[in-house]
Amino acid sequence: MSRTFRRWVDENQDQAWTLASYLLKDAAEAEDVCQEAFVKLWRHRDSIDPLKIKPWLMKVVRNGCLDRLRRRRPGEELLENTATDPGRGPLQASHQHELGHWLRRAIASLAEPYRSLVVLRDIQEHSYAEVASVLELSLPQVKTYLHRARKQLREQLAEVRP
Amino acid sequence: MTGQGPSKTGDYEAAINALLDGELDQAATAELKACAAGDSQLSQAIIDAWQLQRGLDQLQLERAPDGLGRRLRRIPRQQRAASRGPVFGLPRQALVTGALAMTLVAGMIVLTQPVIRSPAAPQQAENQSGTDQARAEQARRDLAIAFFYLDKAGLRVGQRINEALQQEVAEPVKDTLNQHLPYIGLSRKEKHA
Amino acid sequence: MRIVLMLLTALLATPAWAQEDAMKNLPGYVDFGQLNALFGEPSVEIAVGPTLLGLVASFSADEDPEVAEIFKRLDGVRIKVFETSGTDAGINASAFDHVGKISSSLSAMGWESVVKVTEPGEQVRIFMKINGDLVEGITVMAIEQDEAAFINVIGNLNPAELEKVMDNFEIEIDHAADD
Repeated sequence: MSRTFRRWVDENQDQAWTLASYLLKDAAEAEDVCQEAFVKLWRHRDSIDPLKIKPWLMKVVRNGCLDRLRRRRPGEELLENTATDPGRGPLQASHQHELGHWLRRAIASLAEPYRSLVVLRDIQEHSYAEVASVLELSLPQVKTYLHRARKQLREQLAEVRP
Repeated sequence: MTGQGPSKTGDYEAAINALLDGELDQAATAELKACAAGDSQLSQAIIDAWQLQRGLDQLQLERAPDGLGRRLRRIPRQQRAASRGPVFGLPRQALVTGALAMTLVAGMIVLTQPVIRSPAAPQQAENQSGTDQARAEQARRDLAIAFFYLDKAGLRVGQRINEALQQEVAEPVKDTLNQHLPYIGLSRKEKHA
Repeated sequence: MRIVLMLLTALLATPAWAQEDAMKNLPGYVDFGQLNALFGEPSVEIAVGPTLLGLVASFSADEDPEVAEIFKRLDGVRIKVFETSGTDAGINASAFDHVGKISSSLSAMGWESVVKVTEPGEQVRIFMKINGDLVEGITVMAIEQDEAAFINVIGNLNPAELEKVMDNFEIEIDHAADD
């Protein structure tokens, strides 16, 4: 079973880390949440459908992140939401990595569940069904909220377009 | 569907997203494009959506730190050790950091699980091979015992490191550890556990 | 019961001294001195030299080639464990002095002190012999109320590689399978 668990770690650690990093914007806390999630995975390993390990794990990671966000002081949360610098947009520099850098910050500034939706669907490319399972939403809700998230990002993109 | 006002862009939001997700059929796609031809705002919305999607496609998964991966792979051992209760009088907390501390030393050494030859394994016809196999298995058992004690020493060290880190002392030791064992990364949680 | 079986296994093992000679001239080898004179007969005495390690490597090759490669580069694993329960405080004092002397000589020979734990009635010293990026030897001396253990691992080691491979294995000393 340990070999199977290590395979789960190899297959999922990057996604868990990516999701936690975007949600928490703190590397140390993201590591802690990932570790807690995998400990839970180990403890529940016999009761989880092996085909659903990934969405199960992403759900636990996300819930762990949300718990920590709720415990943060209101000022901290506010600071995170204003992290995006409106004065310098991605199209003022022509390099692709600038757009990526801007997008990461813009995604991180989205409120939940939009942030999770974009990370899970557009970055990690989970299926709509998996995203619905992680976020405990219906498929129509996932699509609706994702569309709103993308629209918010498009509008932010339009504001900084030269 | 030409001459649509700005409010109608919102009506096409689902269609735009379906287009990006590859879920719009040919007929609906053609209809959307036809509408966009006569609606500059709709046209711009489609372009913006396409640019955003291109940007999102470029975003890569963040690679998990190496130290995190190593800690995650140690979870089964740590959980087993914790579930066995206190070992040698050491509290459970020490087991967690002890397992980590053990890798400071015994992390250099690897021990395979004892090999139990299955009946289906190829049989060694030569007496020398059989003797060698027996010697190898005996050596495995010896190594297992040796690492048992190495592990035990690591548990004790782990408890002390835990205490020292909580007291924010033992900097020279930490410096030496960091210098020679850079891949051992104590998580903030373990440091302040 | 399992501890008894382990100890019996150790006592029936290939005589430790037969392996020592092959390791004495290696850079990672540590001479612990006359431990038997200080502590009496060891309860555990193991020495797995390069020949046996090579055998273990060859029999591991099919199961795990990476582990086999590492065993090939190890030159020895030595351990002596002594029971100290029921003895008077004098033995512990002498033991601590002895560890202190060995520690000083290791430092003089270029071994790096990695861990130093000193508590009433308890000491742990861990040293590493480092040559560039490789560890040539590890030494652990651990004395507590009930026992004293002296462990020396000798070999040409790549820490990063071994750390990665070690994650793939567990050490279940009682051979109890949890899986």
